[in-house]
Amino acid sequence: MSAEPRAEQRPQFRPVPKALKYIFGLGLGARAVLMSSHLAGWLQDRLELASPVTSWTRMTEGLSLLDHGISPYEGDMFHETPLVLMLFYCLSKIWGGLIPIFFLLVDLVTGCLVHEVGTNVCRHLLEKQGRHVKSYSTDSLSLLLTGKQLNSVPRLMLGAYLLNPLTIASCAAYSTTGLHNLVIAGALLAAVQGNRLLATLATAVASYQCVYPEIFIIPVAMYIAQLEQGSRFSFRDPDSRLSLLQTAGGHFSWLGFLWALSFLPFGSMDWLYSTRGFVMLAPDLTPNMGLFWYFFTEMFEHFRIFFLCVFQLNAVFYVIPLAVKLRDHPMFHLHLLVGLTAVFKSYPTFGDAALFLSLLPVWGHCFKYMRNLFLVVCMWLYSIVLAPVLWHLWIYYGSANANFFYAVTLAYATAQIFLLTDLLYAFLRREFHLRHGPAPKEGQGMPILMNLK
Amino acid sequence: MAERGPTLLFSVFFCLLCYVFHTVASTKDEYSEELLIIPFRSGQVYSHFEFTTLWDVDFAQGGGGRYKLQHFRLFPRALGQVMTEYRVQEMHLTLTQGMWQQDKWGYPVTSAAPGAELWAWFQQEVDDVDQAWFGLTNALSGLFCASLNFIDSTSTATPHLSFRPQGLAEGLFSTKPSHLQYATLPRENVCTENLTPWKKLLPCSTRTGLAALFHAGQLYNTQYSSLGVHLRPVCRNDSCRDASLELRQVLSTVADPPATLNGKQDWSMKRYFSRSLSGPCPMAVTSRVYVDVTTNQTSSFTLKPEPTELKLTNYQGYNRKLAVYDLWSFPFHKEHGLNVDMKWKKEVSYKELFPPRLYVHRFVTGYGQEHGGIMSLLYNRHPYLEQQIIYMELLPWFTRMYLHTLKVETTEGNLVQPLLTRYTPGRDRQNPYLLEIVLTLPPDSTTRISFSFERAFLKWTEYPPDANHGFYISSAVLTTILRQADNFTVPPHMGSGLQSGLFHSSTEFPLRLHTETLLISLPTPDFSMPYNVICLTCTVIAIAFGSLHNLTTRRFQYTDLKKANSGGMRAWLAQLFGRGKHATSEDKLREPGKESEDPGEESETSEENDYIGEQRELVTPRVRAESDKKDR
Repeated sequence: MSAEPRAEQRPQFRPVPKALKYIFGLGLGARAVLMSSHLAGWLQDRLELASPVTSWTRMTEGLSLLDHGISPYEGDMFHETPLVLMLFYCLSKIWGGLIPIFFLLVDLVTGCLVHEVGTNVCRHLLEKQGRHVKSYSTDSLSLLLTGKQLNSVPRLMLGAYLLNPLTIASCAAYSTTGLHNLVIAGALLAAVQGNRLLATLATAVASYQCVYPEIFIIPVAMYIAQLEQGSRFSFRDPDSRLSLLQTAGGHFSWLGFLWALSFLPFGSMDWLYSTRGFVMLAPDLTPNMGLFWYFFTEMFEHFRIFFLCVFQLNAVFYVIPLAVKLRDHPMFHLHLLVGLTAVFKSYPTFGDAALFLSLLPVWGHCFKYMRNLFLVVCMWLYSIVLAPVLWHLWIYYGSANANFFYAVTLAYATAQIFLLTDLLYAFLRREFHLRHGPAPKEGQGMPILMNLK
Repeated sequence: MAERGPTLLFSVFFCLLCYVFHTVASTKDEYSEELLIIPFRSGQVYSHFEFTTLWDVDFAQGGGGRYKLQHFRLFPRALGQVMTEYRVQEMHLTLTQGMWQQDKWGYPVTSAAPGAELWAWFQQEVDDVDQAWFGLTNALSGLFCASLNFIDSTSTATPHLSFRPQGLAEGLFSTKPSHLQYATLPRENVCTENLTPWKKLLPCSTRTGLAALFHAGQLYNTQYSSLGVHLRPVCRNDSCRDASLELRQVLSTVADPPATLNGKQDWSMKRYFSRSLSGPCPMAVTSRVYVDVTTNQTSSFTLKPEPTELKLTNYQGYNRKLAVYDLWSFPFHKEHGLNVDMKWKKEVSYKELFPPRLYVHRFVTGYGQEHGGIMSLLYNRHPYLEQQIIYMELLPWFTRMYLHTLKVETTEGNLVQPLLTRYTPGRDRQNPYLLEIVLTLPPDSTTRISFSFERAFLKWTEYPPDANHGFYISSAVLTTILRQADNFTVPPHMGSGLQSGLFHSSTEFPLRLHTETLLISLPTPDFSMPYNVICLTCTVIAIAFGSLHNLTTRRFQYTDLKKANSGGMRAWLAQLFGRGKHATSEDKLREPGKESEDPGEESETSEENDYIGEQRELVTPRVRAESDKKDR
């Protein structure tokens, strides 16, 4: 939320190019049309778009409980954070019509933020390339980034966010996933700009809102430390350590501040259990696109806690090996984490994955090393089309059962995992080729194996 | 003098004994048994047994624990001890099989929810109400052979408006709102095993008196059958300076003669209880049978034997004619027992029924297994009087109620503004959803209360064995005070026993109605899948973990296949196709690899070779298809 005012001012600084205008117009138009159509009600209950945390029905229930003078955190119907609740409460009190406008605005601002993230990351990559180009192999000129990307990539990202049918549907469903994406995009932008105060605030807001971005602080801290320390950065260097600690400290103090602020409206910390506790313990087994629901429906009672720990650790643990492997590329690490949490979080929606998809164009230069894009695209389409169909067959017609929908969620998760690991593979391979040339020097004409060792 | 010693001792002992007996006898108790038989217009016959024990306990004596119950005489000891142990002030337990049909039968003497319903007020001194409630439900469960031990926090609520204390609640008996506990078990099946312990609590058991009619096989072969135990403190006399403890044991059945007799309504004790009465219970002060003969004018029947008395009552312009058999004055020595026998001249004619002025229906709305709704229709058929009511809905946690969808309106579409809404949201696997609304029903109207809910997905172990049978939602409760009593089957009684209700006029007619229980189906998982699901989901996670592990723990490296000796056929093939197909250096990079042929790796440990073996699995399927296929 804190990212909002900054972002709203941004596009005013320079004239908006024509292509961007089209994207804005088309994206917002599609959202507005969908919102006003009768599909909106159907979309609101789509569990692919709205999880128990982000569902608008639940938000309405929370507002209604508040109207009746009951704390929404007393029951188990509401899991959004108090600040968001208060925001919507004010909006609905001022004028009910503000809410669709607000959702449009949120997506618009997220789009702008993603655009800015694109510009900044591209600039950052080019600068970095400039610094390291001496260490690159002379043969790998074809792999180098060019200034052209600076223009096209952000636009592509904006388009990928605003024109993505998933975000359009998610916005028309009034799913607060849009808001989650906004704060995460805000965190990404603040991170790439490298201002410690802003970056820690933005990550704190993001993790306050969606819990899992807590782990973003590791790449963000590394990035800021590298900016400060330059080439001297190392985990053993006391100065670097101090910088890392400062960032982490900043993050947690902001988080504490936000928590204290949330304490005020209800005078208790019950909300913490209803929001964080809910996401961590995943007690609601309503199907969604994630891996948790069916697994914990079918889990044996005495293994439940163990597997809950395993699954939650699995969602956050990758940050450590990635921090070691990608220690020189914290931005890539951060973007990967956006994707990883979108797969492994306890209540994922399509909207979460859509944000990661819109970040992909920044890493477009790695695409040529990706091996199963076609498979991933097919699996995505398969799951997006079949999820509602099989859901209806199970719940409404009774001719399918839970396994059908489960299969779709498995395919969806697998597709995302393939995409993520493939992206990481492609990135690492490009890095390898940058240093060792696109082809091996000795043994020309020989079949050469490129392999991991 | 030597002879007088034992005499003195004896007289002292005798005095002591007298004193002891005196103190015991000073707690007076009284027992009465009554049976009310009402033939309904629809042909069914309602029999309501009421056994009342009044005990003048000295409440002040016990100090803290007010029910210091001891020296039991007529009051059942088994129940008394439970009440003392858990410091229960008021307790109402009903076990019901079947559904009371308000629109056909009017109001029952005591309304009961289908299944088991238990509510209790604990004494003010009780600190841990939950603990006391847990103890009470378990004790009653043992006492009545019912599944009351399954009552836990998920089915218990504390309604603030609907269940006020029915007995004394002031002075010594004042209590706190939090000390009320209410729970229902709508799925409870009630049968002989509940009746047997219940009738053992009666002073005469089933050997003589009205209880001799209880033949389980007959009682449960009826449309409706309800057992009840109601305990409350009441005023001892009009001045109400002292209190007594009242225990009402209630049994109601509705037999359906036309169904078995081809449309004839004939009813007799012998046929429907397979016994006749042989005399009153010797302990009973009152032992009476009342037969409502008000309808005798319209659809005439003959009543045999002749009643000992005919009584006319009139409350607020509503006349009722009752035939009374007093078992104490009935000439049992002349007759062979008392067999009340009603014989109709004609078959039952199914004409228009007269539903009571106020009644309620409830049903499930919606389709599919994702969402659902509950709708109640509240009928106020009074032509000019409004009716204020309290409507209570208790939903289990797995039907997650949406308060924002709550809508109260008349069927004409006019919104009805509730005077008060009390809502306690539920928590998954912890608390139920409790809704209480105070409404004013407009005269001659039908009011619709509707809301929607979301069906929860349960863990596979939380489903009952017959998961697709569905889940029961307990009945909603409508509580009100009627202003006119002409709707009543029997006006409620402020005093004890049926008699006081039947023959004493009153100006207030508190009424409680229970709606239908509902059966809803929840979406089910595939119960045969746990192992498969665990395997499949873990596999997907393993794909992520394996790939990320590989990519983050190893480095890229060129491997020269030429140097790879002893690759045999596979290396040769790889070479062949590598040469033949791919000309550009870029493509060569994508050649499938046979890692282990690398000479550099020969010296390495087998552990690392294992790693590489793993890697092959991961890499091979992703590389260029053609050469790979032939490779294999």
